[in-house]
Amino acid sequence: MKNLKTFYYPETIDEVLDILRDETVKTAMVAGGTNISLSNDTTVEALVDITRAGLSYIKEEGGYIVIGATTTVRELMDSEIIKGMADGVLAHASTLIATHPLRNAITIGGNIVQLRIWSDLPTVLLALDAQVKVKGYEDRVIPAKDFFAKHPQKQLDPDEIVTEIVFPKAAEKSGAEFIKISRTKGDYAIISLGCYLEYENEKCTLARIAIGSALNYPKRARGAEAILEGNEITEDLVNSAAQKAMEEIKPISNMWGSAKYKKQLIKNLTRKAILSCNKKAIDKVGSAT
Amino acid sequence: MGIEITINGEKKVWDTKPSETLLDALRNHGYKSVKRGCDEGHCGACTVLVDGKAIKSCVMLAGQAHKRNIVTIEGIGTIDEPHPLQKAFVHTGGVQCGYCVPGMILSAKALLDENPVPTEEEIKTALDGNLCRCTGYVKQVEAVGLASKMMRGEN
Repeated sequence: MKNLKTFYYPETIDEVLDILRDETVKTAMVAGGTNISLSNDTTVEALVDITRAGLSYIKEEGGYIVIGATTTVRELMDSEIIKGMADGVLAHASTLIATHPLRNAITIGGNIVQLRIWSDLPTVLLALDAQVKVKGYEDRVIPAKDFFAKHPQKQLDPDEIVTEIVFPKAAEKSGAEFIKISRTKGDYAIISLGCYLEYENEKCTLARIAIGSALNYPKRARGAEAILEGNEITEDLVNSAAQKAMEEIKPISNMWGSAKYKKQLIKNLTRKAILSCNKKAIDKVGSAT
Repeated sequence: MGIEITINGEKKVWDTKPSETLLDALRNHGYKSVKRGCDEGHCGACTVLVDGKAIKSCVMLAGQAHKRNIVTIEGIGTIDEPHPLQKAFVHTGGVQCGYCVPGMILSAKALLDENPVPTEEEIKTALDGNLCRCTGYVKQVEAVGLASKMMRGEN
């Protein structure tokens, strides 16, 4: 950041957009700062501090949970709304991210736009079928599955800002789970897995299984989901879904583990997550149904 | 670039380089209690309070602290009148080399300000960003529990 000359402190989203549209200055946005403070980017001349632009909030709107982009991981983990939604998977995942002073800084918007291989939130957001709201010359709503299909920074124009992350409330009869495997609690994930299952009568009507950190961009295991949907969850079905997830997701080898090891993790964790979601859904409604 | 900050209750205007971290700005202005360890957000030796929240000042730029309220260890106790947390750290033997302690006490202060009666689990979560290579954390977790009692007048 050696050519950085100044900071801007916009107080509204419109002010942010005005600054981003100014083509005479090369800007970057800063919220938590954990990424940009370590950056060696010499092209950036001004930083736009977006933490004062009114984007820190968590609220319920109709059938949706709405999270402002500069909401911190700490706020997610402490929020009663987030703890109470979809078995609290987003709050749980937040407690597993980094360490306390970093959770006070890292924002959901920054985390998903910067997308690192170890990022945990994208995996949960995929499982919760989140949408990313973007403002620029035109407003855009990008489903998480598209947002994370390639690097999010490549999807956004320099004059666009992510303003909100939105996801539908969990159905009454549903179960959700998030599992992260790392060497220590706050360490980078070797793999993370998010799962959300919805039921009607005895049948699974909707399944979302998302796998992250084992591959460059987090991904849904569509084949495994399809095996579950429309069926009653039996031991055999769980095993075939886990097998399918292992076959369809192609993990990479890196310093956190070999592809072979991660494949085994995908199978085992998919199985574990489905069983856990199933149990949570049954526990909610009781054995009467 | 000028930034206005409140530090340990005093309003100041500092001239900082825009690319400077808050850690560098603090140390350059004489706040030497703020330690540099890893300089990349892992060790927590540089922890300060920003608007009451524990933050690692090596991964925050000084410009982000504009109009924020900063507290360093210089602001929470004196040699003659230490803060209960400082007394508790001494009492339990939670200090060995001492390098991690300013950051650790500030993380603990942020916790006790929000949650005066934390559980052991909550203490561990609040301190999980502060590495200590001398102790085994046991004494420091005890110290925060003791400080909580002292601040409630129980000890």
